[in-house]
Formats: sequence, structure tokens, C-alpha cells
Amino acid sequence: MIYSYCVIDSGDTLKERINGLDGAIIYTIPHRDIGLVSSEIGRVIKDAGRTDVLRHEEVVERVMGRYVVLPMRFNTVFGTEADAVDVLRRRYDEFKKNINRLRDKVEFGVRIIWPGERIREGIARAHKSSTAGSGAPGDTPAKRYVKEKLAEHETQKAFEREAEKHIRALESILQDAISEKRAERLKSRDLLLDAKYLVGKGAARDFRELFERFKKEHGDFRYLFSGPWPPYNFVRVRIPPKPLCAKGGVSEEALPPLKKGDRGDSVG
Amino acid sequence: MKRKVETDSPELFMDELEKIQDALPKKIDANPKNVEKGLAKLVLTLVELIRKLLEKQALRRIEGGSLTDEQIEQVGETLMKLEDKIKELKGIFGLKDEDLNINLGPLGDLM
Amino acid sequence: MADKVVIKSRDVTLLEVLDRVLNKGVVISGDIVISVADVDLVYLGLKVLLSSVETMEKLRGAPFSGAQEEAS
Repeated sequence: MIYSYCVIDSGDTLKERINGLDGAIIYTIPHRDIGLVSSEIGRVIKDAGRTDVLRHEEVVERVMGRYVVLPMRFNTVFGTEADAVDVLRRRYDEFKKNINRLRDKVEFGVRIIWPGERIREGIARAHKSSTAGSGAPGDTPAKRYVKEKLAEHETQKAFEREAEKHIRALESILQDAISEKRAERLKSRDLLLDAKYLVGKGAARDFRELFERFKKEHGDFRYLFSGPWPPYNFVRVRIPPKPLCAKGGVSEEALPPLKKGDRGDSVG
Repeated sequence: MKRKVETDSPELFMDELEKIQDALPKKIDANPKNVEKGLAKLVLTLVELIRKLLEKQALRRIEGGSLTDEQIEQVGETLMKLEDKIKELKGIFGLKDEDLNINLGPLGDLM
Repeated sequence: MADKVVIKSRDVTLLEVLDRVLNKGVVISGDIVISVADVDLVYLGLKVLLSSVETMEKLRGAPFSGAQEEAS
């Protein structure tokens, strides 16, 4: 079987000798001017092990030094070379489009933790004192319940506005350095932002510096900054299953293109 | 270009990220022993989703001032009872609040 | 399988790698593999999703062993 690491913008033989999973030498399976970086594998990977996962990433990372890479998801295995070529051929245009979009681009990860729980409590307290006395003594339990819910609703809205304010401040600072973003806000109360930014290689240094500037202005937040990565989060290729009985793949072509906000992590 | 992961508080991020991951796992692991709980979880998740949608809509209407006092009273009582009932069922099946969420992958969490 | 016990350190760098390698990139649905090599590989395709879950399970609860270790 053939384990695959990434698609690259060249069908040439790799100049570097790189060991892939289980120490197998990696090589390119070419189709026109693109290629699939792969290696032979003699086993079925049932669990994502640390060694394999890191090796996969290392291969992509090393190939990225020389080519435009579209990383494959871990554990993408083909039965034969012909199957791999089949995918390259059928999806050639899509691969090319992604290669052109991601040429000379890298991905950075930014995660920010803020004292969200505390901030929300503060907002709730302020809200309570400002609306104190609005609960009439004659209120039925149902009415009290509604009032409580309303207060909570207001608090949540104010909380989200507060988060939005900071995120907008960050993004207005980073704006000029980023070409694309995928950001999720308030995944939990404390996780203000979980974002991935696509940055031109030439702007990587600027991006870092701009981010540092935001950090200085918001010293009470905690940060996790990572990168540069291969553009894992910005590859927009998702290949649906080949129709099992029908030949030619009609349904596949009819599928709508992947939306930008799609996280692309379901198995279909 | 050497890749870096920089953080002043690795443990804090590990904890936070793991908390988020919690929504996804566990339920995939269905076996004869937990099938009842799994089913209760699925049903309660859907009921809770509908309750939350109703609550949201009701609050919006109240905020907008389009409900009479009497209507507010009725809606409030219904939602309150529904919430109590769900709480009771959660207790019976040993489910926690965070269990009543389904990670929908690309669509994000249900609630 | 040996891999089952390998991932157990609370390593933030590894978590970042996992987050990308397991969930992102070019996704080919399992069925492509099915048509190639039969039932066993359907399982393989689905397992990709499961393994990311299990990995998280393994990451959790294990003793913290220097998150900065690989951060260079």
C-alpha cells in the first residue's frame, strides 16, 4: 500500500532523501506537473501514534522547504500507485487551484485565553445591580424565571460584545499581514480566540511583530502562538467517495465546492 | 524557517483544549452496557436543543415587547417545567450538562 | 498495538501537530480506499476519525511531561 504525505507542485523526483513512516524512503508519484509525495507501507495504521504523526508532519515540513505543499490528512492510504494517480488526474484542477493559492504561504496558529469566566461574572454583577428592584414582590415563580433568563441573555450578549471588541482589535492590527483566516471565537468562555492565519512567507516576520504588539497591549491575556506550518487549515480539497456501483463519478462532480468556514474534518 | 510553538502557559492551554475536545469523544464508544445511557443522551440532547431554541425565541419576543403579561407567564411556566424535567432525567441517567452536546464537526457544536 | 501507549505526554506542541495532521489537509473519504482494498479499509478510513478521539483521550490524564520539550 501507499502512504501519502502531500501533493506538491512538481512531478519530478525528490532531490532529497527523506525517510517516511517506518523508515521507508519517500518518493513522488507524478501526474503532469504535480506529484504525490508518498512511501510504501506494509501495515494498516489503526491508531494515531505519536511517532507516526510526528513523522508525517516532519516529511511535509521538509518537502515544504522546496515545493508548494498541500498536506494530506494523516493516514491517507492508497492501494496502488494507479489509485493515487487516478485521484491526481480526477482532481488535477482542484489541486492546481490550491497550489496557486497557497504558493509561498504559511500558516500560523493563534490561541488566546482571557479571564472570560471572571469577565462574565463582572458583567452579570453589574447587570444585577442596575436592574435591582425590577423584580416585583408579587412575581410568580414563572415570571421570576423569565426575568432570570432575560438577565442571563443580556449578560451573554454583553459578554460576546466584549470578546468581539478584543478580537477586532487584534485583527485590525494583523490585517495587512494576513491573506486568509479561519477563526473561531469563544469556543469556551475562557478561550477567546482559536484562529489560523494564512500569511505570505514574505510577511511572516511582520505578522509576528504585529502580534507581539497586540500582546504588549493586552498583557493580561495568555497566548499560544505557533508556526510557520504547512497550510493544513487552508487546503480546500475534499474528495468524496467514488460512487460504489456507478462508473465515472457523476455525483462527485455535482457536489458543491467546500465552503470557507468548513472545518473539513468529517469522514463523509 | 523553523517552526515554533510558543506559550507562557502550556498547561492552561492543554486544559482548555482538552475541555473542548470532550464534546466529541466518549459517545462513539457504544457497547451493550452503556447503550441505554447512550440513547437517553441522544434523546435528551435533542430535547434540550429544542428547549433552548424555544427559550431563545421566547426571550427575543419578550425583549421585543410582543408578548402580553399573561403570555409571558405561560411561556415562563412551560420553559421552567421543561427545564426541571430535563434536569430530573439527567440525574436519573447520570448525565452532565456537557454530555448533552453533540459535536457536529464542520457545523460546530450543537449548542 | 505499541502505538496505543506511545502518546501520553501532555505536550502542547504535539497537540498542535495532532490538531492539524489528524483533522486538516486534503481529505479523501474512506470509500476510495474501500474500492481499492475491501472491507478492512473502510474500517481504516473511519478509524482516522476515531484515532483523533482516542489520541485526545490518551493525552488527557497522563502526567505532564514538559510541554516545552519539543518547542524549539
